[in-house]
Amino acid sequence: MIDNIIKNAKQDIANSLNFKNLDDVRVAYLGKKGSLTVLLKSLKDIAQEKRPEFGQKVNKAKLEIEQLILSKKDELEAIELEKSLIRDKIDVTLPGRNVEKGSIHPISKTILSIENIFTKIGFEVTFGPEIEDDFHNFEALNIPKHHPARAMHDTFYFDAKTVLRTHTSPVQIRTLEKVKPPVRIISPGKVYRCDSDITHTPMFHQIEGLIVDKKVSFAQLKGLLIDFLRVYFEIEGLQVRFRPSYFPFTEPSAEVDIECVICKGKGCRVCKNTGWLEVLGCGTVHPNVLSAVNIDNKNFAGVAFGMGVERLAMLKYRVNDLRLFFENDIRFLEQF
Amino acid sequence: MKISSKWLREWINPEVSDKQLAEKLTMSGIEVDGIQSNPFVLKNVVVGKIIACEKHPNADKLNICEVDVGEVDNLQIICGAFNARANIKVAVAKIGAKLPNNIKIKKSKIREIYSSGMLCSEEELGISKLNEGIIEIDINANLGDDITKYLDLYDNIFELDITPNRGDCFSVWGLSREIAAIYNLDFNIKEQSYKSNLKNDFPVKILNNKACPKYLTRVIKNVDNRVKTPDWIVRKLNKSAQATNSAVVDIINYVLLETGQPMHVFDIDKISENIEVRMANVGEKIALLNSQEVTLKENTLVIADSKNPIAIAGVMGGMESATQSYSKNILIESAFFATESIAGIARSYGLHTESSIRFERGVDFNLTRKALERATNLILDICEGEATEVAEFVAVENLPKLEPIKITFNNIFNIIGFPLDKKWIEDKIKLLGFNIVDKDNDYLIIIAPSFRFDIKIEADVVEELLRLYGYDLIPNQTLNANLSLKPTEQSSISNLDLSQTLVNRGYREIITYSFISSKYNSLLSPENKNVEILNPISQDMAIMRNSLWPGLLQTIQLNKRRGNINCRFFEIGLCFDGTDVDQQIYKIAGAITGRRYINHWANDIRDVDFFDIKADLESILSLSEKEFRFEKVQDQVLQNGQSANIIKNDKIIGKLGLLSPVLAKKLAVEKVFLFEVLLSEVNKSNIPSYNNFSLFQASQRDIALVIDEDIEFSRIITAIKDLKQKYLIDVFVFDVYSGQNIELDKKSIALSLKYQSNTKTLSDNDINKNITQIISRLQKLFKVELR
Repeated sequence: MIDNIIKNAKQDIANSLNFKNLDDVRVAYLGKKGSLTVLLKSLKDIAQEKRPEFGQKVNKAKLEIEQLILSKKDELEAIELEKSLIRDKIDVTLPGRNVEKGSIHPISKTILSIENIFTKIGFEVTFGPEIEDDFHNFEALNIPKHHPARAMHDTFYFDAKTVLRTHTSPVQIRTLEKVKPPVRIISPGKVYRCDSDITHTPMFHQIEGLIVDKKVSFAQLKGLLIDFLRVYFEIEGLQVRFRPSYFPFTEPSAEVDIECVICKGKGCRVCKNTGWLEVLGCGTVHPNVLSAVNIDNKNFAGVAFGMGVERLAMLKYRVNDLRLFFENDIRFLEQF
Repeated sequence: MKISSKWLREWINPEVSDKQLAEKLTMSGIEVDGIQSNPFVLKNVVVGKIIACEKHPNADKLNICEVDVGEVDNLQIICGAFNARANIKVAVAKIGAKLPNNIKIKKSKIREIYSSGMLCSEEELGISKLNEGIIEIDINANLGDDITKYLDLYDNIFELDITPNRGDCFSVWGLSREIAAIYNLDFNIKEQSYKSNLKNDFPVKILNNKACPKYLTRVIKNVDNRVKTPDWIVRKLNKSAQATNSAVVDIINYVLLETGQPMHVFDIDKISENIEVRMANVGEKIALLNSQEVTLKENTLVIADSKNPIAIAGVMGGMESATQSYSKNILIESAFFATESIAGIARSYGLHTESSIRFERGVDFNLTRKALERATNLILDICEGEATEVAEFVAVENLPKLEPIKITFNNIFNIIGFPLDKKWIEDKIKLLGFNIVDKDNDYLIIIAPSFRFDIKIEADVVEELLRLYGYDLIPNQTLNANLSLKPTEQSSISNLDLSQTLVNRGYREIITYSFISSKYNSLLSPENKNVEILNPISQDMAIMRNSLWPGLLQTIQLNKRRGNINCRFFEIGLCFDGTDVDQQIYKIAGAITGRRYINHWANDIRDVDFFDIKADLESILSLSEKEFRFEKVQDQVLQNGQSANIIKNDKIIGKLGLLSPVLAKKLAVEKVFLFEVLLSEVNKSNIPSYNNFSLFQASQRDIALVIDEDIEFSRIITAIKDLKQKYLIDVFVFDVYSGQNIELDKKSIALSLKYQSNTKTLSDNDINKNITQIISRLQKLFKVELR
């Protein structure tokens, strides 16, 4: 009889499809009027000596059924969870909410990357005013009035003595007026020349570099700038050439060309078929410049360099029109 | 400067290709910008012989030529050249030839008669600008041969970009001397001279011998200036991109290119009495050769006769006294003008001449006579005439001084960073034309040649040495690490920190011009003091900005025009209150317009509003000390009721708001919200200092108040904070409401107040007392009602 109950209970539990069915099964067997409960109640009608054995049997059956119900419950819960997970599923490929994606201007990006390169070896970043006086922009840089080099600097004037700086070199003077050597600075910023066509904008950016120290030589300057260009363009073994040039504030002076990064030196439109691109000017600081700021040029020497940021940005990011930088069309800006 | 390779090689001929020569020059500091091949490749242009030449029946000036080009059939070619005649050999462009001026030769019919080709002039073949008649070729030339065999066709033109210190290289002579030094070649030239017994008694007065330390003249009488300039001169001038003129002028220009000495010729019959070299008088005028009339300034050295200026010294001659083809008697001037007196002068009159570019850089003062002699000989050869002796004025004391320069081997080593051999140095010094006047184990004392009076100090000589050594051979060394730490501030906020904060909120950085149009300026910066550029590129770029808003708005407008409607831009840059250093101030500004969020499946679609830009601004303010307040303001640029000043320590440091609708319309933009703050006020914070936080429970109480519509939230907060309640740790507004159930002109504000003690858990009683205090104060100040 007990065996029959267990057998039926097993059957009923297995057939339970949900918690309600299962609970009905529990009530049917273990509830107040459940078949096992009823059986247990009939214990008093059983012969005394058979009671322990019978009692044990019923209790064992009760435990077994309870156990079965519990495990069925786990099973149903697992099924239920599974169902709810299916209900909560989403399309994970839909885009996330409110992605705010702005951008840093490519010129700022270029300046930052160059600052990062130089600050690693002890250069400090300094700034100077953009409206300059004649002394800092020309005179102190060994460009006296009527110097033919002034003709190359198409200058914007406010009055005879006040100009928009034509290069970042005045920062050399402003720094040396304030700071005692050794000095290692770079100074990025806007510069202005009265010139506007496809390849010239009246405002552009330069980065000036200056080292004044006891022992600093042209050969060191050459090594430094070659390293810099290779690091900046991320091209190991980039071909770099130095050629003599002229700047009033450096002597000896050099212009620095790199192998055209567009055609790898084979010759193309960008390098005018020469295979070379001019990217830097540099040299040993002219003694007149050091004496203009009262630096003892017997004990200290200086080397300086200057570069055009737009040109470096154009070459690195393959921008083919200078004017794009100052139009600020979103479709241009968003690419950086 | 453009110079033909052939011409150069007549003077010095290193055994290298033009390309190699150009490369070497560039690497030695004489930059060759380009090599232009001359002419274009010619095909189907051959040697032909005119067999017969008859008049065209239907045209007076045309001939019908029968031309043998070495083929089975002779060609019939119509030709209008005056020198077309039988039995000469000529350049024949056959059918199919393409000439440099883009003419394609086809079979054609000229006045009813067929023509199968063209007989060519030098201009038509792109050799020179000579176009008087067809080219006549050596009578022994082979019929049908490629014409290029017989003509001075193949030549390369070097385009040189000469630096301001190398005036000496502005000539064939100077370049040749340089090439000789680079390649270590012998370079000797025979200098010419002309002896005359005729006295030169034309009166010349040098009134300013500082500006004009040397002035030579020579008169040549009875020249025939109507003669044709010889082809070889015309070709050379053309290759150097010089126009041709009358014979005498062509010769002077030719000698200029050859020697580098600018000279000037006057028609002596047009000079009144004498020549004076003096500074211009104020208001004097001169009509120049280029037909420009200029009013002279006092700083300008002029050549004048007894009445008027007849030339701007070293720049350009005047029209009045210029030689014409009919001129008979001429005066040639060959002078040395001090660079300081010429530099900048040409530019100040908007001029840039072959003469001024040389004098500005400096012309060898020993060249004055040599060039004059050369020109004399050429003029006498070509135009005949009788030359007088040279009248020479020299103020030796005012000529450039060639001072001895001491160069120390040790200094050279220090400057360049690697050793150069002493003997090598000495050799190169000599090769460059320097004179060694003294020497020792450690040094040389040298004097520069007169054509290099730009060389004044040791460093100048070092560059010369390095040039010849080859910059590419300089070893690449590393810097010495002489490093020390400089003070830095952890509390400073970099531009990148600020930029990145805005970038993370969807802003794009822009860079706009620092100069703006007066329209934008007067609309957007009505209080700007107008820092104006004297010589702007255009009126749109004439005034220095004192706000970044004009650039931002222009950018928004440009993007709108191009269909980019939703914009979030910022810029960091200098703004200008004046021209002094401390009037140049960095600002950071932003502008937003269009939709708040991009179209998105999960977003509400709405336009940006004041509190969007305020949040963006607050995100950068929150990087620094937090003592910022906002105060409503009436502003000409911003819309009333949606504009505020940003205040820190009772100082206005910026503003934000909605662009006034009137301006938005004028500037063709939609609703734009803007902010701008002084960079110096937002780029410093404090080093954080830790405060213990309470371990006791905090209690929060919410109150809803009904108050007059125009009482600002900030006043309520201030009133609460002024009570300085000990346990009040936070107040925030969680609802602002007006409309249904609220009286007109009133609004409901719901506040959340948070209390906490460091030492105990606060009782209801404690908190209620505080709340009551706040409510009664607000009732007293603002007549609030509890809701």
